Amino acid sequence: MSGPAEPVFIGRPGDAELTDQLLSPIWLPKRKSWPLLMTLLGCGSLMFFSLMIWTFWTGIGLWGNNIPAAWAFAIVNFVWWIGIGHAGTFISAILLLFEQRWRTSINRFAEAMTLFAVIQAGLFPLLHLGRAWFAYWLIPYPATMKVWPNFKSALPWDAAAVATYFTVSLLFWYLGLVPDFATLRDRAPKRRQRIVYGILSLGWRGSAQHMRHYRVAYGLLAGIATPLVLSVHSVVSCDFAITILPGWHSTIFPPYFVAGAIFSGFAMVVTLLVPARRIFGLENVITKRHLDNLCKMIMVTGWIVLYSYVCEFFLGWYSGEPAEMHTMLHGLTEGPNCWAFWTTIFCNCVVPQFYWSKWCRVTPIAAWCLSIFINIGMWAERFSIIVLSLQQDYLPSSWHAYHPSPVDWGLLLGSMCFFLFLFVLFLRYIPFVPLWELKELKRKLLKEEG
Amino acid sequence: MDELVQIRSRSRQRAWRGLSELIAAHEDRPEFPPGADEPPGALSRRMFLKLLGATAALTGLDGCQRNLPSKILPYSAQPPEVIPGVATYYATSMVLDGYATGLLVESHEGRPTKIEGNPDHPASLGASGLYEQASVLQLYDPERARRLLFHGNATTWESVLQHLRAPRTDNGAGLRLLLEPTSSPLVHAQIARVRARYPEARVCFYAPGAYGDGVLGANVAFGRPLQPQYDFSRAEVIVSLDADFLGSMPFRLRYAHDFAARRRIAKPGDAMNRLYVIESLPSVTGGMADHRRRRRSSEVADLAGAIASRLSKLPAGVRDVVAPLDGDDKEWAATVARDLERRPPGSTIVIAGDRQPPELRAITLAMNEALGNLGKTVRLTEPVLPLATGEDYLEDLTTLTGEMRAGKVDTLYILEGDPVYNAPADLDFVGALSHVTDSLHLGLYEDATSGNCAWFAPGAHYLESWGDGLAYDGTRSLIQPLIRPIFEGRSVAEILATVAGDLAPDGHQLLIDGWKKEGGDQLSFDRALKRGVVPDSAAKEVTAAVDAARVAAAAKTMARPTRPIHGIELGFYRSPTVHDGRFTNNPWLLEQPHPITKLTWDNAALMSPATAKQLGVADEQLVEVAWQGRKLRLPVLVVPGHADQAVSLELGYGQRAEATFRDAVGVDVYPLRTSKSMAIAEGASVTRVHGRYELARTQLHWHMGEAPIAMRSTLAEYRRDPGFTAEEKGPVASLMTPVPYTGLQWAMSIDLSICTGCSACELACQAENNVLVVGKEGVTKSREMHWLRIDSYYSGPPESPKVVHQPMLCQHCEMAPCEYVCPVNATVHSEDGLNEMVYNRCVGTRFCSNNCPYKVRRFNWFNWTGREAYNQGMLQLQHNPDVTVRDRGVMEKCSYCVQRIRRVEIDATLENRQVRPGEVVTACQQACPTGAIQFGSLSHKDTEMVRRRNEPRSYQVLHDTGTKPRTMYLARIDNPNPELAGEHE
Repeated sequence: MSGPAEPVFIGRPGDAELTDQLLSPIWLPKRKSWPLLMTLLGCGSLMFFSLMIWTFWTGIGLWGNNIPAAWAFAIVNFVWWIGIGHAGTFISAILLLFEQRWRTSINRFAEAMTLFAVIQAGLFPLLHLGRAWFAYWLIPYPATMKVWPNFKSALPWDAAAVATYFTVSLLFWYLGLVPDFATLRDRAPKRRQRIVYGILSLGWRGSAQHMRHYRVAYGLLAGIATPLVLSVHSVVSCDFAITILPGWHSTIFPPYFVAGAIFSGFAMVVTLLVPARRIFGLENVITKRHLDNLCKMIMVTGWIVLYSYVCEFFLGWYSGEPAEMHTMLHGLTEGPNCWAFWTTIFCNCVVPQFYWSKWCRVTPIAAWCLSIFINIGMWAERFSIIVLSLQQDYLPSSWHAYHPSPVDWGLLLGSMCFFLFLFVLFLRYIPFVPLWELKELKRKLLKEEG
Repeated sequence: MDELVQIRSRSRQRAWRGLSELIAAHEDRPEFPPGADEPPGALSRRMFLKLLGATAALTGLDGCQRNLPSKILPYSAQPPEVIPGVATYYATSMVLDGYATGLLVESHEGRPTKIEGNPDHPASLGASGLYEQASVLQLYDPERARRLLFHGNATTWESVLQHLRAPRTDNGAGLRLLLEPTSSPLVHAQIARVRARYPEARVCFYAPGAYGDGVLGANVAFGRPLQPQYDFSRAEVIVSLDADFLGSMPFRLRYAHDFAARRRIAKPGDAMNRLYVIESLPSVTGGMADHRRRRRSSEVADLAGAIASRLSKLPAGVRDVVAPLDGDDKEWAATVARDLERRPPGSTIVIAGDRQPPELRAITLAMNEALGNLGKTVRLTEPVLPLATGEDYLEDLTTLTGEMRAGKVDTLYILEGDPVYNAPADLDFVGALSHVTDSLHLGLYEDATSGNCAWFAPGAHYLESWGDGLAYDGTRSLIQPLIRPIFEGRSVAEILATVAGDLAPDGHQLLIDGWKKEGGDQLSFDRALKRGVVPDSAAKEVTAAVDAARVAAAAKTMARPTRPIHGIELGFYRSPTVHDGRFTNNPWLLEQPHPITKLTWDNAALMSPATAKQLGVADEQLVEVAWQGRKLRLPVLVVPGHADQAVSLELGYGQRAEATFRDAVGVDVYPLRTSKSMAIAEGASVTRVHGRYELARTQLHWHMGEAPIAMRSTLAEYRRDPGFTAEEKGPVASLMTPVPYTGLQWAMSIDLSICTGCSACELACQAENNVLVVGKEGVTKSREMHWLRIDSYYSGPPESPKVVHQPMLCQHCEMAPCEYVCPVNATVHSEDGLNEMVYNRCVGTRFCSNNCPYKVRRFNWFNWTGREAYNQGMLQLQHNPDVTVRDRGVMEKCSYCVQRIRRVEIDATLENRQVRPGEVVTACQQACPTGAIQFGSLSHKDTEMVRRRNEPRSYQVLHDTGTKPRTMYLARIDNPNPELAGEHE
């Protein structure tokens, strides 16, 4: 915990050299493992879509859901993925506004992760509807029957929040990419690539005027995106907090969910970043400083999460309400599927404490392994909150355990495959370390160093 | 698909008269019985195609099949009583265990859809039970027999009738008729005609559920067959000795009504009856007991004897023979006896169940006489079921099989019933049947018996036939058909008339002829038909004195001073859902949670926690039950409150005949049941064997902890603290502006004190509201669709807990948690206080269910109609056209029978008047035999519903959640004997 901070950028290569290094994954011949990986992830994605079509065709009964546990895997996955989608915007927008330099080399990476995670997240609530073909009824549109959604329900809020978040994230991500698409256009060896990247770069020439407008737009978008980081998961948490269900009915949910989301998002960034850094040899731009900071963020949010757990339990006990107390003291800890609760406690409360050790933070393999635990822990947390609360609520006569069906597991696995499929495509075709921002950072550092 | 395509194309080519003909034409008899060459499963491919074919064929059915007159008329000249869209009601009766229950059947354009009790009929008083409610679905059972067979080949009614009519030369010496016990004057008149034609023919009666009734006991006590009639409305103290008079005995609906009349208290000061029950398997009656003592069935007599020995007025001869017990039991029996004697003469009842030997029933009659009950709470009449030959049906059957085996019987006509499946195992009825050359079976199903008979002919459902029957009290009622026989079945009376020589027997004509012969005319016939009851036809009361010497002699045979407990005692029970097996093809009843165990789709070896522990088994583990060399395997289900060292088995399951639903449903326990052990088999062994079998139950948790969910108290406590539910009702603090509710405001009150848990309401709701069946897999996954369920909660020690039943349905909260979370406004509040479900608007987020603290919402996880054979084909003809059948992906729940409310409102509007108090009756309320459920508008202050809400013990479930439910419960009040305070068993 001592010594000078690691640098955020090692070496001071020339612009051309830096461009060559960072664009090399796009031009270099494909590795042998590439087709294998794509086939594997492609098959997983196919399974995902097949299961979705099957569910759409036959009914939600293919899953393990029941009464009382009317929500289960699909909503767990939704909340989990949307939580993961929080790190990107946090890193790009909030850290940008706070002028944190260490965000530069990882922001696009995290944004892409956000985008793809939100895509996964968005699929589940749609699929989860009993009559998915009427999903548009949740959107306020001027229907001829003059029927509006029920604005008292959190679900239309949800639809709006997630849709907004996706749109803003996409714009923010794309806007950041425009100068780099121009670089790609200029450097592309093949005509077809030049055309595609040329279209994507929207005529960017890198003029000072471009840059001036660009900065304003980017700053504005960052400003718009910042509150979304807080609002999306707050709204998602309202799906639970507005109910009267013990274990859900709690005012602590919005901050608790936001902290959990950032916690899981940062863990997922570490999970994805460590292998990418190593495979593409980016130790000079993604340094130990980045890992260190990410892990510190995980610790901070981890402690907020832990505090929320304690609060929830205390309030459950303090309420004196039999159903609430039952959920907190028995339903979670010893009810059916209580493995999820204990997994949560271990992964989210115990595991992050290893990050107190600097070695764990800066050693890629250690940080990576711990981040996997946190990913699992956060999924288990969503599962505990949603399923364990539902299984046993007010009337013991209706208590019934939830058992996921193979389709449930298939959809979870499939969504992971589809996520990675999109992510690997991104790594292969789009510069995932922002060139222009890094060059800018390098100049700033050189200036400071004199 | 060939089968289907064929049916389709054929149906276009040529006209066909009946569905049976159409389908029969495409069914060649297979080499093996259907299903024998297929793996067991819920629905085979072959059966699926068949059902599909039936569905396709039905699309062309329209009205022609359902109309009563054979002349087909266009609907433009509709029958005067039929208005399309408006239901008509017809009075008829259903006969079960030989006794009739009067019914009103709802019919939509000639299609019976719903059964209600006939308020004018003494056995119903407007209420109905599970069997009655479910019987309408049986009418449309696509598995019902639809072809006539002679040695496996298709034949026609002409040849069957010709064969039956052909004169015999032996005066009937080789002719035997086997019927189910019946009270029907029509059937008995035809039997008399058969006897007249063939004086030496013999008629036997057998039904596996009827072990002989109270008549046999009276035979011992009075020296002649008499039928005791109990009047629970006048009984202050009731001692039930293994008598489930509220749940399974004939006349049970009336008994429940009378019992409740004496049970319900409107204010703390009211008097309340007290119920002592001694039984083995917890029954519906046991659940209502103030003091329930669990004893093995064979030991009930000991405790009964101990009570008898304390009755001072009992003839000494009787009193002395019964050996009094020791210890705790002695004390208990003495207290019960004191309680009985303390009451004024003629205000108590001691009743023994039909599973107990006639000797014990004779003793109880003597006890009733000693307590001055005869002629008051226990009246005697001549037997309602005419006894055929012997005094015991079982003896009849035993003699019959003996004669069959001896070759004395060449012709046996089995008119209804399935004796091959359910006759006592030691009689080897199949073996005996093989000695009979000319056998005929008339039945609703092609079952085990029909496969072993030379001839088979489809029977007629009671909704398809003319007939009559007597209630347990002797009141005669008529049976009129609501629909022409769908599968061209014939009634028992028609077959008997054919045997008697009739050329073209017609049930209607036979009935009228008989009526006129008795001195009636067409006018009185029509009147009786309309009302469903023949006025003043109840059996006349007779007086008789107990023959003390005979009872003492009987008591001597009962008294076994030292009774060694050896092995496990097996108890055989009629299933509360499928009865003796006659309803095993009824998906409603199969999915109906057992009133006590909440088990669906199966039967199990029911035992106490202690016995299970001793045997080292738990729920769902397989055990082998062995008795006298007979063995079978079935899963265990632990029942709190069951007697130790005893295992209860329910009859009626495990039939392997050609039927989709009953195929491999449960375990057939008849092979363990012999003529010596029809109810009780002592000395069995039960051992654990390897394996598990999954049981589908609708309730798995039985303790409500501290939460005031199903509240209860004792009468003494209630009098001391009438306001014990005060915290569970009244205004709840809220930040919201209260919604003013004016005009008609619908609400319900449910009195837990008189809810027996019989579950009739649950099935009535299912029938009324087109609630679909989800199959065993669906129940296992907790996806059952019942809008109304009966929750049972236990308190006290697990060996002998107290139970309270609570009907749980949508509470129609004024501040409904489900409403504000629905994203699309699919569940909204009406101005008259209903929580409405708009199916068309529902997108199926299920958020409402999550937020419903009562968990009464049901989701269509699949298109249940398309997925489950139980909901398909002909069975859809039962659907209530006033209620939408919900499609996949939408939520549904209790609507307070909104279709009935709107119907009444429309009628009131047309008649330019206000809705009258009590005019709207929900399906559950209508079925309830005790009147525990009351419905109406809050604005009608002078109704029972509102009065009950104002009683001190009313409360709202989960009141503190602020949901303001419109359904109010009345806490259950028990009336324990203060002298037995603190006792647990």
